Amino acid sequence: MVSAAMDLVVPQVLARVIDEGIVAGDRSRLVGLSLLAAALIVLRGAALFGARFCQRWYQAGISRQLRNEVYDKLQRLPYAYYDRVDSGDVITLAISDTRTVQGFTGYGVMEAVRTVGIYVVIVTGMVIASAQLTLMALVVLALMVAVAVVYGRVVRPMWRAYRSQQAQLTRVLTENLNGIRVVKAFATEESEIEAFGAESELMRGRALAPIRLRAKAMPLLLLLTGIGSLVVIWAGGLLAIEGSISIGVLLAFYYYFTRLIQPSRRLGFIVQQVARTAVSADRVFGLLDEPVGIESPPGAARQTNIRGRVDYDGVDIAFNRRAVVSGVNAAAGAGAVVGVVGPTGSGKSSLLNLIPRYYDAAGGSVRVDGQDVRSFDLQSLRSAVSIVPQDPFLFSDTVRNNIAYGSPDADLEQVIAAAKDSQAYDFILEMPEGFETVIGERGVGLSGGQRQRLTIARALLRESAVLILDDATSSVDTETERRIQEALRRRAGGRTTFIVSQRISSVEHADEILVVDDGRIADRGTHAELISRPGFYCDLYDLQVRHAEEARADLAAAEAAGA
Amino acid sequence: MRMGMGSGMGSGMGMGTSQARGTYVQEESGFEGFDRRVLLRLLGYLARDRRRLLIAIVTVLVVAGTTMAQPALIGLAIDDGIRAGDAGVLTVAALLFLGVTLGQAGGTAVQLVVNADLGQRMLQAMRMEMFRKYQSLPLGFYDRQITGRLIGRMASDVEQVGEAVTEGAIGLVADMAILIGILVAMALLSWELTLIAVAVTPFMLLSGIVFARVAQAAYRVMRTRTSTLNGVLAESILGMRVIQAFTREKVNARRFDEVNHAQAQSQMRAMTVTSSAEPAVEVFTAISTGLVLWLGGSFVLDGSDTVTLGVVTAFVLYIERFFGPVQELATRWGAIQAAMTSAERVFEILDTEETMHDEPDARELPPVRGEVRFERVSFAYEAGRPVLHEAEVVARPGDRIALVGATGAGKTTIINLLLRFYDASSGSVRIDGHDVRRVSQASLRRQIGLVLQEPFLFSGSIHDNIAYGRAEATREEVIEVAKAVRLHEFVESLPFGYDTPIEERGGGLSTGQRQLVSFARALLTDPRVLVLDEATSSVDTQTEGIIQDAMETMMRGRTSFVIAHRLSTVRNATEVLVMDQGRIVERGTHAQLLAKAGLYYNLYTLGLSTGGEDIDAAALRTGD
Repeated sequence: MVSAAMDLVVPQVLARVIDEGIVAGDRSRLVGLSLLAAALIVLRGAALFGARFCQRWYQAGISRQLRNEVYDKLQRLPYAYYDRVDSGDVITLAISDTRTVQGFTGYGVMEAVRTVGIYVVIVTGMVIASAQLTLMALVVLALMVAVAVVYGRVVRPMWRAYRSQQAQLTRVLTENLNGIRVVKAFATEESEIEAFGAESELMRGRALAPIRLRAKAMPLLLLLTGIGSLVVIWAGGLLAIEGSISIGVLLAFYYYFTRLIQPSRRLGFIVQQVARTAVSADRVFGLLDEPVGIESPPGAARQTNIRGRVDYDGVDIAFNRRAVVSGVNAAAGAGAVVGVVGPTGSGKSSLLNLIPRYYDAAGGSVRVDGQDVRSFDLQSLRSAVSIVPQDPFLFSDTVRNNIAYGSPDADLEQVIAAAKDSQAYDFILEMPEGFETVIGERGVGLSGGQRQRLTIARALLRESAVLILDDATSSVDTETERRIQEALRRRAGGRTTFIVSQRISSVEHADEILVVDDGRIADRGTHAELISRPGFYCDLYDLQVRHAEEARADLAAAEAAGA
Repeated sequence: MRMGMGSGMGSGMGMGTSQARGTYVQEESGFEGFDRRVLLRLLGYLARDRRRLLIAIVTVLVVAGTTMAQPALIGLAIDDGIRAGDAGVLTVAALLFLGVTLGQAGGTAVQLVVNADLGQRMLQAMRMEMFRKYQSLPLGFYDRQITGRLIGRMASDVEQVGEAVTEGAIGLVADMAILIGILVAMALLSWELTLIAVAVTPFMLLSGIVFARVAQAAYRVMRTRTSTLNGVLAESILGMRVIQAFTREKVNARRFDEVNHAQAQSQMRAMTVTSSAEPAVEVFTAISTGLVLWLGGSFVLDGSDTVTLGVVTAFVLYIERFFGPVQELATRWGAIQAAMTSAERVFEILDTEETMHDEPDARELPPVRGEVRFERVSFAYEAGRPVLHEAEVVARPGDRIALVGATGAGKTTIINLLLRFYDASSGSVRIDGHDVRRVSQASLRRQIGLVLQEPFLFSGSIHDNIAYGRAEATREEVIEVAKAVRLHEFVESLPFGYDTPIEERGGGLSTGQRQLVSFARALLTDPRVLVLDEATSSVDTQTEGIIQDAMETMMRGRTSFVIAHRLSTVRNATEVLVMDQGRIVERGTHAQLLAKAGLYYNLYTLGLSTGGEDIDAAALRTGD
């Protein structure tokens, strides 16, 4: 505001330098007023610095707060949210859109205030200098504002289109890189380049559209400013020749007008920023307003002594109103081992995801230690359940930190013990820096089986009451799997374990095996019971055992031939 | 979003959370000082489009010229019009002013469009160059890179560079033009006053240099901290399920705030530096204006011929215009500096050596019968650590070769060399007598069908995916191969049949169905040689039967190399190659090998004792 006020005073002083100093021929006044003018401009600079500094400070504070808010929200959104949205899209939102919004709240708001301030001050100054000229100038000003407003309206959808094309381009690239092996094997590089080129070209067009518009609006603003100046000089000049105003006043007036050019340019820029920000803000606030859905009920107390009994009572699951699981009843006492088998897509994972409340059941209830999971404190519940998911996700961090991901307080000995039990210890030692090797850095790649074993170690280290192995050993060979299972039994000590698998060998020792088919429990029983009656399990057993038998036959034949 | 992203992309996105614990400060190196070559190379992109660049520069000059003419016209209006009391001259000056303003407006319009066009074309060119590079880099490059990082280079670094070059470089030219123009205009009016006006310039230059140094450092710190922050954010989003499953929210929120705080501070610092530039320039403007008013005013009072009231007025206005661009220069310099870091990253990719390229005299591989020979082939990723030793393989057309052994034994290497994803360190791989290094990669791979262990599908319809290797295939041809692999019935049951869209990474289809699609895809190109990496994870009983049938259909009449996990595969193989530590240690038919009672026998019996259907199960070492 001080800096804006200076904008008012400086031309007045300049006017007097000219009128009272040069035109009147008063040397001492000339020196004095020149010094005054310089001093005032310095003061304006200082004020400007102050204003800028406060603005940056405010902006840095705001952006940190906004980002923390976004991050906090992301951590609370349920799995269903991440199923629904595209990960690339969320990343763009969290990075680019948040940046746009915070950029505006800091820079834009202050700049807008300053621009309005300058407008008010300058118009005041102009009125003081000459009301007649001001009236003429105001017509021009009104037109300028109108141009800016229209521009803002039109440019907004253009930015939206640009943003979505940006996301699309990233999607195309991501897919290409993930499938690069197939691209190369089928020698389709050229058509991939063509496809990418088309999207990239489209993005270029989308980027140009708002600028084309700006190229129409900006010159219009400039032209209006120019016409304003022209009116001032010409009409003012005629007035000055008549003698109704002095040359100094005329110059002061002109100086005011040139001072308006900058804010006018800024006005165009600000309007554009507002438009961009509005698009981003829509998205950011959309995220912040996203209902969390799965939260701790109010007043839920922390619980630390969960024992691990799990009951399913008439459970239904639906995704997008399509029933995936219906009417499931099951129970697992604390410490029991439950095998879960069934065709892909039959609902095995969906059922187990209900225990730690990654999703909520559409009907019925899941109870842990006899208490509905929805009445638990969420953190307590999830601390009591460890899962090894189908897809082993590791963070770009050291091996040690990845294993200790869910138990930050674990010491190295515990980490090593978990690695040994998950049969990961040997290959970890072979890595360049052992447990301190950073995963994902240059040259350090892991096979699927190695990844799975690390995620098993991560879950084992947590020592939680319930352990879920969701097809966790699919890329691990059977011999290694057997050793992992031995270790599990050793460690178990009352831990309730759910094992989802397609391998008979993984589940045959379970206390109970659930056969899930088409969202229902098709059969249940021990291994011995299930192989004694026809059904999915028996077929699976036949297939896998027939292999073994045929192999045995081959072997016998070979031995006979050899002997 | 699927958790599957974890294995490929997620693991590497930016920096890890705990790495961020302390090391993000050290990450602030990377770019050492100002590299002139990088800048020149960037400008080279602009120079490619000479016509547009010329237009850009011309319009810049026009705008600069009009900007300079305005004060002169006002000076004229004051001296010869108002002070002389001549309304005619005043009107002429006003009309000239109008003309100049129109020129300025028009020039600005053209300038904006041309600049943006130039910039976007440059971005486009860079994006395409990057993408082409990505397509031509050997697979070995991808084995060591993290997809997320490659995407980042394309998405944010290219963008950053493009903005800086168009806004920065062209703006720089415009500013320079205005500066020089104003100097000339001032000198024409009065060289004495010009000297007075520019008296402060040396001091300003000096402070400008100091400023640029400080700004450069501050911007670089900000840029690296920002990318650290973005990396943490991206990785968190990709691994969100794990975060929630392992209740890491509180720890992560604290860590994130640390990184966030560090970034906010660096941003503050960079901005403080930038915001001090404007007031500093204002001060210089003030001193200059004061001097001109004082000394120039004295000249007028002394009755100077050249220095009139109009001239002094024009000078005051010129000075106002002179220091604006000077201030911009400093800001632009900062932006260009920040972009240099990005440019380096982009160029690092573009300069990656393509170790695998077609020989200059590479021929097209003529249609082959399918005879494959490995003659004493060795391979090492790193010198001194060979992963394949003198492999000898002979496959006659139609032979089925099964590769057996523990992970890391060298099975995948054989396949990679056959497809020429890598080049052998010594020895040669020949198809129908043609050395694979002497023929073009595209013509070689077109005759080899590949089925990966984990079928990768692209977004698009089922038809598009099956026709991936032969986009011109008709629906009839697609249906034909789908029938051959017993996929047709399933596709027909879908609401849109072959036009049913496949979601991101094949979602919506079961594992078995995805495999069948990838079978059909390989079959459609009717390759003479087939390479199959059998899936280890079992599918359900019914699908298993279908898959075995489909494999049988595919291999019929084709030379095939199969990394075998199924009993049926090894039993039907013409030859089984047993691999161990990069060597082929045993070879022969299933029955012969069992009779030998060697490694194969051991693998086999161990597999039986654990009850697995999986030959690979009995890997002697757990070394995966």
